[in-house]
Amino acid sequence: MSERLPKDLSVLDDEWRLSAFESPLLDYTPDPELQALVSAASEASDFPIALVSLVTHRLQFFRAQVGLPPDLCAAMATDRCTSFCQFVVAGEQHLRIEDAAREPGLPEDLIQRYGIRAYVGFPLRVMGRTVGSFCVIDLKPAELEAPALVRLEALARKAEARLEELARQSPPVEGNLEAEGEAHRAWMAVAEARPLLSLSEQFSEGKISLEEFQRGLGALAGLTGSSDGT
Amino acid sequence: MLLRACDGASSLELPALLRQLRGAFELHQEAKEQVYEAVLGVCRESNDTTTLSLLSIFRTNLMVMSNAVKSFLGSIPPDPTHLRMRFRTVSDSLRSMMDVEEKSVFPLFLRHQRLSFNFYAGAFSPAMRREGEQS
Repeated sequence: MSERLPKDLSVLDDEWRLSAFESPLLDYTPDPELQALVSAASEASDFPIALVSLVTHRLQFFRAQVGLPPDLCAAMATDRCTSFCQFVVAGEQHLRIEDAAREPGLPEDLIQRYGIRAYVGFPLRVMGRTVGSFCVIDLKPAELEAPALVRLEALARKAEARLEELARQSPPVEGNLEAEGEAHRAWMAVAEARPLLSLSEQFSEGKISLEEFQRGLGALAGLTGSSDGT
Repeated sequence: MLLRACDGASSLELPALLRQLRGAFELHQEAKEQVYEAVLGVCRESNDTTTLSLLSIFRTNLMVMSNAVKSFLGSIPPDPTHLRMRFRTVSDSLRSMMDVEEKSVFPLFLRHQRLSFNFYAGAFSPAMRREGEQS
């Protein structure tokens, strides 16, 4: 059985929560430890997709992934408003969806664009703030038994410990908090625009087709202000 | 060159270099925007919908990034360690922008330059113009 979605999403835009995101977290350099954890999660659940998804101001950014289609591999992100992971972060608890197509209240974009049906996500906390979701995804309706859920939760705690380690590479904020807040927001806008460039780069290099390029842009339409990303 | 200097600068030198980079970047973006306008105009006139569509996508993507970079350069983090760490994201993004432009955008510009050289020749740098004339 699927669980209720949180209605209040205001915590997603909380400045204190967003200030946890620094360059070691929003980095495109693959992290072998996180990568191993998502591979283990896919195996444990028998779901083809597993992610460490960080839910930022405008995006869900895939810090580690296995099983994503080429356009999402290229962008490593989608708009936050279409994500399922936003509900894990806002609710600060795990979320199970057995069949997204039958779940009222879920954003439909990723269901229609990528055929996502089943989802299980556990919250990831860093420095006391919920920053993302450790999740597995299937393209068909599915339910996980208790042993798989226990195993996934254990993997999520390991991912959390690794993210905490990465986050601590940045020094704590001191001094002029107002200037620092403004500077952080400005930097975050650069970090959040990177998926558009990454997608463009992969298309320029012939690594994804025009169709994949356009589909990936569609999943990032919120960044460009277009309705379908093209 | 300025970007390379920023990459290698000490935390003390970096803010001043970033102010220089901001000025250079803004001028560069303004000039490039004029080229986009000109080439898109040629595409519309010649009814080249494929190039028009692709160039519009690249222009939008690169504009989102360049606006974000401009904001970063106008709001430099006061803490030197944060500045150094965050600048890496910006530096990588600028390199990625240049890469996309070199591989995808400029070839589209040059293709149209051959068709309608006089329309916007003044907007190109001498090096780009030479390349266009030779190809």
